[in-house]
Amino acid sequence: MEKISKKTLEKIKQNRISLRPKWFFKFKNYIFWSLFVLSILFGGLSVATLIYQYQKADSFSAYYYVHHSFLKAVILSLPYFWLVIILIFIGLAIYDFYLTKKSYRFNAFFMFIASFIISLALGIILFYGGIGKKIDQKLTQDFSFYRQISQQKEKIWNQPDRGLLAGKILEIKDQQIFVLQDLGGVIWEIDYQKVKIFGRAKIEVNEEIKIIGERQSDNTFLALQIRPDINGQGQKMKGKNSLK
Amino acid sequence: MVDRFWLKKTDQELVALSIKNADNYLFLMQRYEKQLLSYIQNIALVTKEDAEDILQESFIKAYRNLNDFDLNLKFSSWLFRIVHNETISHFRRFKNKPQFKTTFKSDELIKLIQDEKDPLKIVIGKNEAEIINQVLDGLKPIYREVLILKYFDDKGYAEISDILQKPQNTIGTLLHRARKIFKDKIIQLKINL
Repeated sequence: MEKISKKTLEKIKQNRISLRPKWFFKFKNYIFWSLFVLSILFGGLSVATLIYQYQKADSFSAYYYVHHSFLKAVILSLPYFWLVIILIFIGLAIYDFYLTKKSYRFNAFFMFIASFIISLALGIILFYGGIGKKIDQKLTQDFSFYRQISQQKEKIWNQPDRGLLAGKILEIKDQQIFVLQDLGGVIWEIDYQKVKIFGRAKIEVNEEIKIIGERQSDNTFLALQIRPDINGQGQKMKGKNSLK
Repeated sequence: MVDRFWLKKTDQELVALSIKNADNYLFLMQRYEKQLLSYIQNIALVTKEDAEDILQESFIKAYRNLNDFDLNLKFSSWLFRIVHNETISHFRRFKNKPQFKTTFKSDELIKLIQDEKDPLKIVIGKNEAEIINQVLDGLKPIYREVLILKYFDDKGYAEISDILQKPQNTIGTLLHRARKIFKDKIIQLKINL
């Protein structure tokens, strides 16, 4: 009886099996918690960039105007690149969390919702702190792949035949007409008598704007809605090269 | 006299003493050896020698990780968890699926089916233990294990949760399903007899 216990103790002594030190377990747990916090933080940064990019491109308004379908506009305008990145970080956060002690007491669905809410809340705070914009600008500057994704979203606004136009105001002629240079460099005369202005958009020289309306001839366009520029919220362009 | 001294010690006290001196670990192992050996044999069809090997490996693993033992947990739950994981690892090493051959008689499981307020109330008779074991052997491993922990090892929901490392509400759901499947199979078996 109880021979296994005696044999085990003998083996422990013969093989000089020693206890793993306390710091080893503390360090391991600390690493897993750090990875969890980092994953949540990167999730938050991704959310901030997603919000900025979505707002910057404003492709929902364009798709909704073209397709007249809310669902279609949502599906077409969603920033899938950032959604995938966010899901990856949430997945990593959940994985890291399950490597910590007692994490098994929480179910996976609860952890998914909790990680998502924390990342979302953090992302909103970071977005209002201007972090989303900084990340988007840095990625656009350094990675051609990312630049292509961003430009793809902006191109939707360069379709005058479908009632979409974006560019920089060059001159305000009077209370009815201003001159705009579009994303392709074409000069347009914009009739803005019936226009409705959204957000922080302004009709001022050097202002970058997006227009929803109707093409009337080769170089004239009737503006029905004016929205803030593609580089932020109605900012004035500073350099000659800022319109690509 | 010496035995009585060790018997009075709690698991937590014995853990603290084992950390200071390996000899004290013997009393902890002796406290759970019989129970854990039965547990291994009930959750997997292994020879007695294999079960002893698994238990020895588990005891060594537990010893190496004594500093990781959380005093807020029950030591028995922590030890059962290590044994459970070691048994699963044993089958992974040998690339086998665990096979079962239950050999225990659980009065609690017999009560479970006899208390059923159902027109098909079962009176199995003398061979009830044999039928119960046969049904248990046919259950999915996870259902089988929660029934064994609950009705044979007399573990509560919190302890089963700590052993199998699943949330308590998941354990509740698993036990509910396991009981239902168990009863259905018993009824089916009785009809076919």
